[in-house]
Amino acid sequence: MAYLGVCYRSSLAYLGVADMPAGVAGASDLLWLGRWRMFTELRATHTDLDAEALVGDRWEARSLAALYPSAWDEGPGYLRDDFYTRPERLGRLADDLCGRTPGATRVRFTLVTWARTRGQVDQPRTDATRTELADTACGAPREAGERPRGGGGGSGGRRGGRRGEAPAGPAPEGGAP
Amino acid sequence: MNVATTDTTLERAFTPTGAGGWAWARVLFALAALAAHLDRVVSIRDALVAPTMVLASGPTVLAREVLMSGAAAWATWALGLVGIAGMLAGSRFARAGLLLWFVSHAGVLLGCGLNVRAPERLILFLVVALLASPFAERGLDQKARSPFARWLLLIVYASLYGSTGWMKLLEEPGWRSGEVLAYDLVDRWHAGGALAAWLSGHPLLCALLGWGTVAFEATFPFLVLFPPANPWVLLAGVAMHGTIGALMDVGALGTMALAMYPVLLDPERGRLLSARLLARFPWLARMYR
Repeated sequence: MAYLGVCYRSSLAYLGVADMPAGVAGASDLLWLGRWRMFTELRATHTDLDAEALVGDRWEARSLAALYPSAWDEGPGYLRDDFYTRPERLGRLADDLCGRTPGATRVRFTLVTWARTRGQVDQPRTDATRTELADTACGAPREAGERPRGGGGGSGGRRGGRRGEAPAGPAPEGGAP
Repeated sequence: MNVATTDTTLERAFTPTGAGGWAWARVLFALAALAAHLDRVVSIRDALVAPTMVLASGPTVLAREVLMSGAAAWATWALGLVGIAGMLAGSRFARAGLLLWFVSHAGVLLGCGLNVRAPERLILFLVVALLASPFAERGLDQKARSPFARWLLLIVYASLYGSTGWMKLLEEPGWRSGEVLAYDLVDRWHAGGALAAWLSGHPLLCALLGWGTVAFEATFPFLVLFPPANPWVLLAGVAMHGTIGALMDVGALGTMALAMYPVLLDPERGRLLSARLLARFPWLARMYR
């Protein structure tokens, strides 16, 4: 019961409305097991990740959905916020995409967000906001932990900093309200 | 509180009670596991597409080091089916079946580098509670057993519902206005569909559903312990998970959570309900007993 109580308190810390309980900040991963935060926050935007590869002197769009179909209930793996906000993970994706795009010299990823439209099934990209997450040279040696440009750099699965700073992701860390 | 009072309180709290709920939970849990397991067939392809390992996240370092081959993934998945059959058979097969299914489930999940979310974490807690319970025994409707595992479940469920309900109530005004729910109902991945989209365009209905969700979740830890309210709060839980299931695709959380409700039901009421159900549907007894 005490464990789950501490987990709850750490959930509040992740939500940005409380401090992490004293003495557990370094072991917050151990609290993940009992941290239930399901559909808690307002998520008014959709998120997508666009990829392009520079072939010759032209940027060509690459469909991540076609290349990386891996999905698990909440959508494609590359759209997990704890994936695209982590530079090392985005770096691996960049390396892999370079290898799958003949002639590519650079790849870049752009986070696209647009407002959810209530009352309709179709959710077209209108007035989308585009934020470049990474622009990486193919074949370039990268230091461990090097951060692609603009890559957010979250840690420990945290969705963001204080309230309002969390990136808009495809799904909460939980599964249902 | 002196020692004698403490002893009396503990004796009362841990007096053996009717254990029939565990038999229902065994069958329902196995069926929920079967539904989730069959649903995972389509995800086995992830194991066949090794380059998608680049997307591995969460506690899945193993997936990046040990790539599961297609054959290994299918074999692991098939073992889960054997485990589920063991759970359904009950008796001496139930515990081994539960463990086999859980190992298979975790193996596919970690081997494919997939995300570990709340449903999977809840499953872990439920498996621990089941292993601590008499769920494998025959004739449980006639037996009284230690309520230790039931207390364990009550704590887990109180944490599950209570913590998420309190966070919504205290920290997210969008839940009180129905806004959070309205936007979730048009999520591209876990929602959608005509009914959900229609509902998202009706703020009053969203506010009512939002308040209903928060009221249930936030009060669950208290009301479930209060015998007169116990069946009603569980009925509210069935309604909530049922509504979510109708409007969203959120994986196995709802069915897994509901599978254990017979244990959360007040044991005496559970015994009466069980007797009534078995009298009306005698064929159920074959699986139940």
